[in-house]
Amino acid sequence: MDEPLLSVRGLSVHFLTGVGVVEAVDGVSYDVRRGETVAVVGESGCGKSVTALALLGLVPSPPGKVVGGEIRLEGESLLDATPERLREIRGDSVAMIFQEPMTSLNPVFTVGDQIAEVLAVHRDMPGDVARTEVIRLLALVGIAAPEQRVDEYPHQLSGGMRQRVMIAMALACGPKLLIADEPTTALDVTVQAQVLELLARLQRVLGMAILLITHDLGVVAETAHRVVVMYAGRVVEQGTATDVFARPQHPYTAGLFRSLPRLDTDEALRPIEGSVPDALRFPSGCRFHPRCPYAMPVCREKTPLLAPRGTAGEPHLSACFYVDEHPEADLFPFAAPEAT
Amino acid sequence: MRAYVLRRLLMMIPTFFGISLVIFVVLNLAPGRPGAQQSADLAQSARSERTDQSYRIFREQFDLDKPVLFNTRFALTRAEVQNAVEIASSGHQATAAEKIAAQDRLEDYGGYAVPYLVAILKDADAAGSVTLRDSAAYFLRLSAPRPLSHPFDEHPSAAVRAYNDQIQAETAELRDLRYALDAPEDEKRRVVMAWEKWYAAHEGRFRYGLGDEIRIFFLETRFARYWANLVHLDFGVSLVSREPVLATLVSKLKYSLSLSVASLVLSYLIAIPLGVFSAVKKDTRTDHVLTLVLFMLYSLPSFFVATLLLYFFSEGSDYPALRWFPTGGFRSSGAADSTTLGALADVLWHLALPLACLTYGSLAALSRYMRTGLLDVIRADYVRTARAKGLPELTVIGKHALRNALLPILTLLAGLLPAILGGSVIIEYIFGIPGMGLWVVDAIYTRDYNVVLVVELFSTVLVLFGILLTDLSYALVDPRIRYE
Amino acid sequence: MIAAPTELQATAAASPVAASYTELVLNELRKKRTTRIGLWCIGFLILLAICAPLVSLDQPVAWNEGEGWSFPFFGALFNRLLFENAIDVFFNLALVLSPLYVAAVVVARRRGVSGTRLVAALSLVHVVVFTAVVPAHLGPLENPLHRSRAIVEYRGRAETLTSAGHPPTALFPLHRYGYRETNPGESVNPPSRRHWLGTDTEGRDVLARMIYGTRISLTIGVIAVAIYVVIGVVLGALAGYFGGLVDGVISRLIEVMICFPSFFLILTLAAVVEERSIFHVMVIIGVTSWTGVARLIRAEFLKHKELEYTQAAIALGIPRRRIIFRHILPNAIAPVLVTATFGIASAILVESSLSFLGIGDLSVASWGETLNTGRLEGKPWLIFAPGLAIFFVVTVFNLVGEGLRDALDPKLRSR
Repeated sequence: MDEPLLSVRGLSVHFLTGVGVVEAVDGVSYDVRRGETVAVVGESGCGKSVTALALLGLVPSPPGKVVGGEIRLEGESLLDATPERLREIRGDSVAMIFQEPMTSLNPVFTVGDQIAEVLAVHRDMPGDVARTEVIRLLALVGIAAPEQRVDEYPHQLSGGMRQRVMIAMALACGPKLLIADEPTTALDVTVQAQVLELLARLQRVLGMAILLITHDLGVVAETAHRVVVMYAGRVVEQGTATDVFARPQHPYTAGLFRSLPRLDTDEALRPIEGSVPDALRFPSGCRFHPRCPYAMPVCREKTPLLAPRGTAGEPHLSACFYVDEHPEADLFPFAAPEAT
Repeated sequence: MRAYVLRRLLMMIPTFFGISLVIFVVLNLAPGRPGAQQSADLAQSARSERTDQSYRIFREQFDLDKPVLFNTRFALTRAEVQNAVEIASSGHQATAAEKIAAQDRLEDYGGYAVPYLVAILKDADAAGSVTLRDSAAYFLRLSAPRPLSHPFDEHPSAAVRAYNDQIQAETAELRDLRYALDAPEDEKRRVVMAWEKWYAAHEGRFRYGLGDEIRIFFLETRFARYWANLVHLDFGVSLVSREPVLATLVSKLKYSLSLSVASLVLSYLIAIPLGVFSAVKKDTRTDHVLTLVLFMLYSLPSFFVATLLLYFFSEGSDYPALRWFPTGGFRSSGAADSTTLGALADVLWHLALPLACLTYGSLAALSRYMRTGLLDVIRADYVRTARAKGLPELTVIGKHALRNALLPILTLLAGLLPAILGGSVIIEYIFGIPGMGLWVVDAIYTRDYNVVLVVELFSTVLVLFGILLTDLSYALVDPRIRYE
Repeated sequence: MIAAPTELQATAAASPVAASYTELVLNELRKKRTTRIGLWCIGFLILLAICAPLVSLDQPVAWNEGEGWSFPFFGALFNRLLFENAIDVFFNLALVLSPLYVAAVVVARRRGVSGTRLVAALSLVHVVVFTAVVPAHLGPLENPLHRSRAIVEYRGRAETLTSAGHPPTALFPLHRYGYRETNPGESVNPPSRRHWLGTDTEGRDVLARMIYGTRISLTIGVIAVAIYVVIGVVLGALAGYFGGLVDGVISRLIEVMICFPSFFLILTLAAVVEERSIFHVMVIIGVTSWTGVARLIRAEFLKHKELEYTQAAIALGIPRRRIIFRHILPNAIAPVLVTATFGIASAILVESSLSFLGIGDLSVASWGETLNTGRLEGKPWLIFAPGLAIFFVVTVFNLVGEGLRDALDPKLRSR
């Protein structure tokens, strides 16, 4: 197997707040290969966005601080890169789009200027050439009448259009990796579908890899090749989308699926009991154990590592002691353990 | 954008109306008759004569003898007039204050009381009530002449001069229609007869048709006259110089505006980099020291600093080595013939200390706001986007963050302008810069009401335009407003 | 009647210790060192204002030249030849009654009366007593209620007697000069052992004028701000609560008033007032500066009007006046406290500016007037003493204002 485009190993990010240290990301590892879409899934506050920001050195500091691990882009360590080198990578080989298209564009500059800026910084493109390129990019992301839109201000565009502008901006330099941080969360459902469709189409055309950060499993199912599930700052399961969806190997993943509405069954939705733990006082051992219906005494004391478990083999990994002991258990029905 | 400017301009009209209204109210708060209650003390009577004269000019200018909103004096009754005359002639056991009030009332009635005064004069003469007759004759003498137009204008227009000549001729006719109280009864009778004859000849002047009545009712009032004066930009003349105050004001604006505008520009030019610096260096030692220094500056009264600077660094300083700046003024007296550049340098040399005093306070406040504003903006999503685009940090802060952080600072301009204009009063006073501020302070000492009012009105108009300017520049920076 | 729960109660309930909102804010205030210093300084200024005669006066507290004891000090406090101004009477009265007040505080504290209520009650008592005493001090000197004895020159007498070898037993205030004593022979003297901060053009003692100036500054600050806070709160509350036409009219009025450079407006009004007294200055500052408060209160009312507790109160049929003043106002007043504290500082500045220009009340001991004398005479003691005094007072109030702002707005504190 060739070298992955992006490789994250044991990444840890802490926030030093007035009341204590928040271990927002704790030993996270995953790979992204060229041209594939990897989805990072988890509830809000699980550290998935911080992981993404850490990739580009954008974790607000202070209070945030990368305390350990390794990030390699095509073999080059990003954590050891100089700020200047990191800046060169941002927007060029790795681009990022954000959750809030409403506030992520600068209100006082035209969208054309904001896109052209990327080209000017990374490609030294003069203004008139850049303008033609910007119009081409706007057309590429499916904005009608790009010649007019290029001179408009963000407040004149709808949410979906702004997200398209963000995507155009991200694509300006033909990145190898596009990090999309909840790109559809703030949009209407119909617009969400359009934006996802656009991303998928662009990926086919441009061949870039996408790191999709989302809490929406529906989005994952539609677009991702591989899935990384995070809970409370740690990766609890990862594998191909097909494998994870067919046979989740972690009670949390199964719980996420259970809480989704489904058309093929009449069963009532069953949300995961309890709530996301306080980031200042994460539970010991497996951080999911207080909410886990399968929790065993060992879960409280030892931290399960990410490894092939149960019936699953590489590359389907999970971090659960229960699956070790009950390799054949089907977590999906999520029945109480006594009944099994 | 043009529609926006137009809309803003239209919105200024009601505000300006309101401003004029407030000034009208202030005007009507003006004292009834300055010096009336003052003692007969000699030292004061000289001042009181001066105030009296100033008050006459003021009364003349603002028609203070007229009723405030509606004039019903054409419907005056004889009873009202007679009552006033009786009180004034102390036919009743009236107090001095009541007498003065009655006299004032009769003076205010002016021409409207003439027919009744003539009737009272005739009847009192017939009835033999000497006191009543004598005071009626006295007030008739005061009320019968028509007032001059622009009496204090030293350079009246031809039309005004012709009108005034005619009035003076009319008044001259009345010159002999009076008598001393101790004059022989025959002479008094002769004067009374003469008044009757005069009235018969001029009766038409005191007859009002419906049209006249409507005109008088609405237009012969303080309110209407005030607006008429405003529309004609007629603000009267100054007591001290006898020059039209408007012309003087325009000549003073040069000094005040160059001081205020330079101070505003200077405080923004220094405050913005200072605010950015302390926001970027947030919570460092430098930031803390800067914060402390600016806080101290903010609390230092400008007139104290100005006095100190003059004491140490002006030509009057006790320390010869420190005599760097002039003691005041705007230009050197002998510098009239120097080159433009030399003249500019001379003005700058004169303005250095006043500008410093006028600027440091607003500078302190502004840079604090700049710091807070930038810290707010730095956390915004679009700044993160700018970083994610791989822009250099200088562009991220200097372009993306700064442009947005400037918006709240810009709105402060509207509030800063009145503060700086107000502050320039005391600075002009201390440094002897012959601008609006010094002028108004002098006018207060001399009770030159016309000057005080015109300065008040124009400083307000300046602020109004400052607010307009703020809104426009805001719209220029923020497209969201421009395209609304 | 059931009162709708207000945020005040909610805050109190939420805190672990059952403290009132005022106490919470006060605790928050005390946390910051600079604010604490500022509060202590204000306390010191108030104390100095009340005790000014004990610090600086030419009348001895106790006097004995061999013919028995006399206590001219207490009579002097209400002698119109020495203290003509109502502000002086107010503070002198406070000085005389202070033992009573201290006793009242001690007793009430023992019985557990809350601090705020106690201060309110004592202030009320003092104002009532003051109003009763004032008639004796108003009107011409021939006022029958007023019995001023001729002033005895105790200071000179003590010096004469001492040099004659029979020093009297006397207890003088710390500094033996009153603020109105003129002495043409000692005009513009530099600081000396007799006049610690020198004298002004009329030979008046500068230190005494500085000390008594505290009274003027504090009173100007508090009363002018009180006037405009009341105007601003009433207009702002009406505009914010009723909206519609009322809001339209009041908002236009605010817009118009904002256009006036307030110092020019103050000058104009000062020019129009015939015989200016310090009270005119207070009223003029008051009626020209209310727009800020009105805008703040209006905005708060617009916000609180829509909140559930107000809607609940309306639904419960509570009278409108009660809703405005008892339910919404306490929640909306916090930002006004901050403005008011900064406002005291700027009112003091405005008064000093006016008296610096010679447009204030020249019968009182105003720092601005002394500073202007210093400017004209070019004498450092006449410049530094009043200048630093104004600077000190303004700084102190600004410090507390900043602290108050941080205490009331936790969002700002993190910056």
